[in-house]
Amino acid sequence: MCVYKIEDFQHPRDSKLAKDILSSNTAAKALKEIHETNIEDAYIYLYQSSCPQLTEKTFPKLFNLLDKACQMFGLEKIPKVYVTRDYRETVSVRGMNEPFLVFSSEYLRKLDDETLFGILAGQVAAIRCNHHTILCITWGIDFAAGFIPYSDWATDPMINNWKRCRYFTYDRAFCLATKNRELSLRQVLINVVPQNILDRMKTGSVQDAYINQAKNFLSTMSTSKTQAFIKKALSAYSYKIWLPERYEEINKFFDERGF
Amino acid sequence: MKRKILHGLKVADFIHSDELKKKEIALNNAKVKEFINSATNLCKTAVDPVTQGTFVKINEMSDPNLIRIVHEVCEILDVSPVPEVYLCHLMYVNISPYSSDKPYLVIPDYVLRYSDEDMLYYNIGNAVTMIKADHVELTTLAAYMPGGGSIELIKLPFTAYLHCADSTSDRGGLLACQSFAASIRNHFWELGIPPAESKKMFTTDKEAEIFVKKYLDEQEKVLERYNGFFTQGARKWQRMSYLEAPANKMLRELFNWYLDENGYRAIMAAYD
Repeated sequence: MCVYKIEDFQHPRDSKLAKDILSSNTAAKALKEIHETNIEDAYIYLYQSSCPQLTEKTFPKLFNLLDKACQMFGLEKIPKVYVTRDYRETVSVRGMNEPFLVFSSEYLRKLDDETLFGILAGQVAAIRCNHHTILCITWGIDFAAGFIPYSDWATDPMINNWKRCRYFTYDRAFCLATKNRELSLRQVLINVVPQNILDRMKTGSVQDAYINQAKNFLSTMSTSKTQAFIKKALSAYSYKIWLPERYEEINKFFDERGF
Repeated sequence: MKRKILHGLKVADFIHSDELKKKEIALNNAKVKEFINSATNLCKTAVDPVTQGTFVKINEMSDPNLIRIVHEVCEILDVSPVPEVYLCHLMYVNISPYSSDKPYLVIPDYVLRYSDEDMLYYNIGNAVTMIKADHVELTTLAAYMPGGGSIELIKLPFTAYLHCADSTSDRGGLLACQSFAASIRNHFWELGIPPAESKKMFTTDKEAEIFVKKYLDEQEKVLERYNGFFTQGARKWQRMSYLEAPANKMLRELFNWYLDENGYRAIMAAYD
């Protein structure tokens, strides 16, 4: 089995922003505080006390796929997996010293085996790229910033930008794990569009029902100064994920890699 | 279910009697109008990237059934052009029209998952009526209005108007769906009862009528029991300040219009 290195799947924008965040004084201070105050324990406790854990016994299929993904992306220890009830969320890597995955049950319900494998590959890749540490730090910063009015205006733009760019890395890992363009594009829309409609959208084919919307969005953002400004402002203040950008990055990745 | 096409239907045929008056009060001075125009333009510009970048446009190929319903609703309510349709991932039970050069509908995936076809006619009809009755600019703006403190007082004339506008669009929903039971299932869903459960409680219009009457009578009794000073104050404040009127109030208004001889029945009779 091919074992991928970080540089094979980490998106350059994710890599740069992650370095910038980790090298900032605020992050260093947050990291020190998190270690010294043992706040990570509280953070992990919040998940472990309210989310049921999935085990190899209760969900063997998921663990087989997770094991395969760990081997493929060079992660030695298989992370624990929890499930939560949250309509909006998908899946995320949490924790710091011992990272674990939290799946939304709503999201998990929608995933067939191949898609689940790709998604797990994305999360394993996230652990390999140290995303859990940055998420823990940003959680600490957000938590502290909550006590200072308007401080989020200063801290959020870079963090939000990274939170968005990390999806490009997950998507690349998905592409490498499945080598299936249609499925890689489909999983971008899986949490927005119900399955029966998604089946008819024929993502990745010549009849792709979403590609024109994605192209129009990207072209408007490059030609209209006002729209580009609004998008930039929204991007700074929220980590809204722009679906057309993920779509474009996946297509580029497949074109570059030639599979 | 065969639905009547209401050719030439005008908003004036079913508008809430206070809507225009409340709108006039809300926009009664030139500065307010100017502010609303600028804010509305800003909203239009800000909403478009969100729609195009985070929602997914649906066409006849991706969901022929949904697009057919939207077209039929527009035909029933005599609305043209037919708005475009976008899907979003949201645990929300209402379909919203958004303002752009051409208004479009945003449908939460949650609605598609749990609504039956009759309920979709109501929900889409409600949103299409907002377009037909020119509610969309102000409702889009209202969705982005900040809240808290004295701003709540400034918003009062707008909320009064929005409650009447909601009532009008509920009527439009009923006219599009032409099933009182399905319309009421939407209202009860908003109150927290899943459609599959309310379907067990009533299926025909007559059963829905009896159920709603009983429900509203019980509500009245509860209110009579808790009629202290603060409860009355809270009730008034809720009715005045909430962007969306209390669901029970909207249910009662739709029920009254359904029963009114000059309301729903008169319109439907005119198209016999």
